[in-house]
Amino acid sequence: MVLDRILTLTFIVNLLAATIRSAAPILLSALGEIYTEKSGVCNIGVEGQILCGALTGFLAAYFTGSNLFGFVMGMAGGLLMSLLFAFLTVTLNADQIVVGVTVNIFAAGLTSFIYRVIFGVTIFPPATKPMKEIFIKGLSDIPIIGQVFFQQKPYVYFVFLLVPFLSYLLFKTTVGLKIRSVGENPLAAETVGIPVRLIRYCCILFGGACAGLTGAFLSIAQLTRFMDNMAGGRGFIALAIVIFGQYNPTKAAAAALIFGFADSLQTCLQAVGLKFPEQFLRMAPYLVTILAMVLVSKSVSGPASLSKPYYKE
Amino acid sequence: MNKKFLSIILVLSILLISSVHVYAVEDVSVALILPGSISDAGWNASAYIGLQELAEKGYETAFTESVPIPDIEGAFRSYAEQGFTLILGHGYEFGEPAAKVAPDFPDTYFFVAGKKPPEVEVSPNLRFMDQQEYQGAYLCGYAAGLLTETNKIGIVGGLEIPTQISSFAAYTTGARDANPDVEVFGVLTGTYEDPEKGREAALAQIANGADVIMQICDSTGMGVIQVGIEKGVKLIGYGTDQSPLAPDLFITSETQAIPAVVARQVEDITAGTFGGDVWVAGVAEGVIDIAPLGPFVSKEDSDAILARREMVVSGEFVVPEIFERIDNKVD
Repeated sequence: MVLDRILTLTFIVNLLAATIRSAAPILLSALGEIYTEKSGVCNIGVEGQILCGALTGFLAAYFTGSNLFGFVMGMAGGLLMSLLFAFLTVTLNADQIVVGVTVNIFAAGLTSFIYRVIFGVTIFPPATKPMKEIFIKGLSDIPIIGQVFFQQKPYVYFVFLLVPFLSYLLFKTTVGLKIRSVGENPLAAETVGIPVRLIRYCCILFGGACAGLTGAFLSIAQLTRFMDNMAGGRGFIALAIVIFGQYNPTKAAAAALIFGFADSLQTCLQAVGLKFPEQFLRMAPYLVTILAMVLVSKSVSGPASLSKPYYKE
Repeated sequence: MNKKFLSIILVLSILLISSVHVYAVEDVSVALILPGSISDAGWNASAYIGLQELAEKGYETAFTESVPIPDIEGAFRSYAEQGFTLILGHGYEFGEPAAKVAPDFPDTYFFVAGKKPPEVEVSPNLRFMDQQEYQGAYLCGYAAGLLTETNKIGIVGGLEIPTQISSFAAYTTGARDANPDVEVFGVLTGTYEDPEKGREAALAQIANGADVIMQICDSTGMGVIQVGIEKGVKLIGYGTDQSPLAPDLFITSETQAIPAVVARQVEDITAGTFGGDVWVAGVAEGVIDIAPLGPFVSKEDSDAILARREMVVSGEFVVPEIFERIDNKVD
């Protein structure tokens, strides 16, 4: 009976822990993208920025031996790629979607190229120091809850702690108000003295840094290596999570967890040997995301000036 | 005077060496089309390294990587029009496009490193390689069955294609032959280039009790290996001997001698014996094999595994090729 295998403590604990694990990187990129989109810029180049961060982070960690420095440089890598995007779309007013697509293609080629120039093609790719899970004292001993929430790698805690902070910043502070007003009506914002372009630049760069850090997590903390296209479409899922999460950091966290749950469920079910068409299982997380987007899209309206270039008058 | 003499000798010897080169090459140029990235540390990387060996021997070579399935036919045509002698499609998915293109370029040789798809005609300038990876997977499963302590083992694959399914089945058969109590859990991740998916698959199998995991999915498999290193479970690699990644964890690897395969095709072309056939390449042919066993494998187990390998090589034992999922499945 399949239920005997699923209704076990180990299965459920592992499923929930995996849910949080796989939601974290997507959520981090989505958080950055929420800020970008709230300022009226739709940056679909997240996937490319993740790749850049994965490479620069890996290189920094590999050559200096410091994973922490790797994370910082991962942020810098994503930020650099988003700077290109910001220059083209905000300063030159190029079409945001077209530039976003270009960034993705460019980054995929660029990162593979740089990696190969440095390391060549090898069967044994070089690795950074591995990163261990941190068991939070006291809390990790609680049965079930401890194993699910408090036996994760450090970056997972970091991402989820970021959510309330970013939510507060966006909705309860003047900085957040300025960002939102730039996204809603840049002309009106400019009239009251808000520097529209500067704010858009900052938001795009913040999004880039988040995506870059996501990449560094994937390469340094998870794999200890860089591999071509290792972002694996997470940047695109993050874009969906932004809409699914209604441009709200807290709701995005919930959305990322739902996606993470569907994704982990299919892997865990396969691993216990459920007799079920794998194709359907693998499709499930994406199906859930599409369905959720269809359901919420009616009630969600993005920032009024989303993806519209702003021409100073 | 002496210096002049020396330089003449040098120039002559260089000429001699390079002319020897030219004759050996026989004007064969080789193009390779790959389904994935050459830095995947697996299927594509080993083919690329094989191609590099040819290039070092002086052959004109070219390659295209990460070719999506709809673009395969175009890639074949483009290389054929450029006048390459031999065009290699590295994977099962190259079969149908190659069969379509081959009749249009009768002077070009096409080689597909994959099984012949059913209902495909093999034109005289086309050859399929029926690489019997499952034989290697059987031996790996046999080793896993002997070495597991929890009697639970895992295998992580990529796409649902015949070679992967038959490897899953052979791995299961091998494990059960070695250890009737073993439970085998397979996960198909659906990708060869997402290490995160490999990580999650391996973690789920470990949570389920598996203490030996084999990967047969290139970049995705690197995630499996990384989890193995973190959790200290025994590993079985794929493509080449992957044991340098974790010498105290790798039981063995299923290896494919791709450089030898490519070299053999060039030989057959120069000898005029290439094409119109399906070339069977398994353990007996020296194409598929298992890497040297890890240092922790006991003498007894090692003898049993190597004896099993001998039986496969000699044909005394025929590994069944099953295109079904027979690993532990519950309703």
